[in-house]
Amino acid sequence: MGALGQLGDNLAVGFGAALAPVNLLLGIVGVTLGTAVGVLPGVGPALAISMLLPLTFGIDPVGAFILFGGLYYGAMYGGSTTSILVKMPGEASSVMTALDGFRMTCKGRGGAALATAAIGSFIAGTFATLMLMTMAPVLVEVALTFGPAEYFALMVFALTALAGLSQGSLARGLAAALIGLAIGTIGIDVQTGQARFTFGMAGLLGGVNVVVVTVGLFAVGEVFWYAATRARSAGSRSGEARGSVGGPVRLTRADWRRSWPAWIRGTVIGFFCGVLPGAGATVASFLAYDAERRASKTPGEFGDGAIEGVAGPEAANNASAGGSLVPLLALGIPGSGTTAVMLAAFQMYGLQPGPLLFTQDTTLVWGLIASLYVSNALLLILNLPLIRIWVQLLRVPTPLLFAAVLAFATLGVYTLNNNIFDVGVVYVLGLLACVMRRYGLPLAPTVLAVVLGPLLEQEFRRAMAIAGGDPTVFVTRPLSATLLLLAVLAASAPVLARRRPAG
Amino acid sequence: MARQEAASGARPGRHAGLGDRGLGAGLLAIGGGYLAAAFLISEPEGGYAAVGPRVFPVAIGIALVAVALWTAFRTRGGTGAPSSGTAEAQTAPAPASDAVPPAADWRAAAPSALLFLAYILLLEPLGYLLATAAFIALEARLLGSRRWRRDLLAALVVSVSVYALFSLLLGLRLPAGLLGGS
Repeated sequence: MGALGQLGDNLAVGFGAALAPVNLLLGIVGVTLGTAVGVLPGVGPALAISMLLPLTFGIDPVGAFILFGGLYYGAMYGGSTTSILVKMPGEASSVMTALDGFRMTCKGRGGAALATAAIGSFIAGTFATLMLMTMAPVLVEVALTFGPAEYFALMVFALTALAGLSQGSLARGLAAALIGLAIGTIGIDVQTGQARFTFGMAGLLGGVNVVVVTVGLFAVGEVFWYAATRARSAGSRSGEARGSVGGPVRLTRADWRRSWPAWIRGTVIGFFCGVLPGAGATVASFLAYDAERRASKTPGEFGDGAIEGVAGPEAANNASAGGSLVPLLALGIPGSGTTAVMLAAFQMYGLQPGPLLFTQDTTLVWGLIASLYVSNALLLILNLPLIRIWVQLLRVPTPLLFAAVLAFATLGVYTLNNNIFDVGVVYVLGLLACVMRRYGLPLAPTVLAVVLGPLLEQEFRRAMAIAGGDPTVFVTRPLSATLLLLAVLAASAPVLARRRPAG
Repeated sequence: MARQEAASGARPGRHAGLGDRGLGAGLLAIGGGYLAAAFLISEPEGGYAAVGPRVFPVAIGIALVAVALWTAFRTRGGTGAPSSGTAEAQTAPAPASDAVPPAADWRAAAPSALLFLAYILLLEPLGYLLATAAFIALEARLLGSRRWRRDLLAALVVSVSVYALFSLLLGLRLPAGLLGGS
C-alpha cells in the first residue's frame, strides 16, 4: 500500500512537471521533430538528440529530457508512415513494417495500415511506459547493492551484447566497440591528471565530447557515405512512387480483431528487447514480425498485406523505446545508440542516471516518465489527421537536406565550446565512420563505448583499489561473475544461432 | 589519435578486393599504433591507486590487435559484406538506407568532403551567414541537386533564420566575419 501511495505521489509530481505549459510545449516540439526525424531516411533519433544537445543548454534539465523523450517516441512513430505509403522506411526499425504495410497501400488499404500502426504504437508506448514505471524502481533496489565490480561487469555485458547483436560478425561488433573505447581514453586521466593520447593538442585534453562523436559518426558520416554511394544507389531514394493513403484512416471490426493480439505480442516482445542491452528496436520488430507469422492461421498472407505484419512490428518498436529507458534510468547504463546519447545529455547537465537520481531528483525522473504518456497521446492526436503532411516531407530533396544536416552539425558542435577544433574532430570522425561502414563495422557499439568507456575504466579501477589490486574480484563476487558470464553468452549466442541454419 | 585511425583505415579502402584481410590489416594498424602510444603514457611513481592510467589503454590495444588477427586469419570465407542480423532480414525489402553496403566510390565523395573542410576553415573568417549560405547551396549541388535558384534560396532562408534564432533568441555567439562591421 505504501509503495502504491509512493507511486501515486511520484506520478502526481511527474504529471505536474510534464503538464507545465513550457514543458508541454517542449513535448509538442519533441514529438513533432521526432516524427519528422522518423519520416526522413538517414536521420535517426540518436543523431537528432545529439544535434539538439547544444541548443538545450538554456533549458532546464526537466524540459530538455521531456523534449528528448518526445523525440524518441516520435521517431519510432514516424518511421511507419513512409514505410507504409511509399515503402521507404525512415528507420531500420520500420523495415518490417514496409513488407505488409506497402502491400496494403497497393491494395487500397493504406488507411487501415496507418491506423493499426498508429493505434498499436500508442498502446505499445503506453504499456511500455507503464512497465517502465513499475520495473525501474524494482531495478533501482537491486542496483543499490551494486559495487564497482558489478557496474564494471554490467557495462561489459551491455557492450558485448550490442557488439554481438549488431549486423555483421561478432569480430566487427567488438572491433567497433574497441575503437569507441580507444576514443574514450583520449584526454586527461581523471584520477592522475596524466594526459593520454592528446599528442600535444590542447583541444583534446578535455577528451572527445560525446556530442562530437555522435554528430561525427552519425551525421557527417551519413552524408559522406551518401556522397560516396549516391551514384550506385541513384533513384532508390528519389521516391518516384508516391503512395496515396487510399481509404479512410480507420480500422474495420475485422481489423481490430486481428490487430489486438498482434499489438499485445508486439508490446511484450518490444519491451523486453528494449530492456536487454543490444537488442533494441530493429531486433524487436524482426522478432515481432516472425512471431506474428508463426501465430497466424494464414501465414501465406504475410508479405501480401497481412495487417498483423504491420501491427506487431510497429507495436514492438515503440515498446522497445520505453524498455530501453529502464536500464538507462534505473542503472545509468544505456544499451543502445540513442540511450547512450541520452546518457551523455544527463552528464552534460552534471547528472548521473541510476539509483541515486531516482531517489534524489524525483521531478526529473517522474517528469520524464509522465511526459512519455503525454507524448504518446500527443502523437496519436497530432499525427493521424496530419499523415498527408508528413508524407510531403519526402519531397525535401535529399541533397539539400544533407547539405543542411552538415551545416547544422557544424553549428551544434561549434556552439558547444565556441571552438573550431571540435568541428575538425567531427570531420575526422565522419571520415572514420565512412571507412567503418565500408568494412561493415556497426557504428552503435562505437558510440556506446565512447560513452561507457570512461565509466568502465573508473569502476574497474575502483573495484581494483577496493580489492587491493586483486583482479579476481570480478569473478569471485557472484553478481559480477554472473554478469560477466552473461556477457560471454550474449556475445556468442547470436553467432551460434546464425551458424546453425547456415551449416 | 582519431586522425591517425581515419588515415590508416582509409589507405586500404582505395584498393579493390576488400574483405576480412583488409579489415584485419586496418585494425592491426590502428591497434598497433594505439598500443604503442599507450606505452608512452608514464605511470606515476608510488601511486596509491592499484591501477594506473596506462593499464586500461594497454588492455584496449591488446584486444584490438587480437580482434584484428582474428578477423584476418579466421577460416570462414568471409567476403567482407556483412550478413544481415537475422534470418528474417533476408526477406526484408532493401531499405532506403543500406542494410548491405553498396560499393563506395571514394572519388565521388571527395569533392563534398573537401567542400565541407573548406567550410569549416572559412567559417570564422567569412562569418556564419556568408559561409553557411554558400556552403549549403554548393554542397547540395555536389550531392546531386541541379536547381541552383531553389537551393540558393533555401540556403539563404536556412542560414538567416538559424543565425537569427541563435544570436537573437538564444544569445549564442556565432562568428560574424565579414558582415560583422567592427
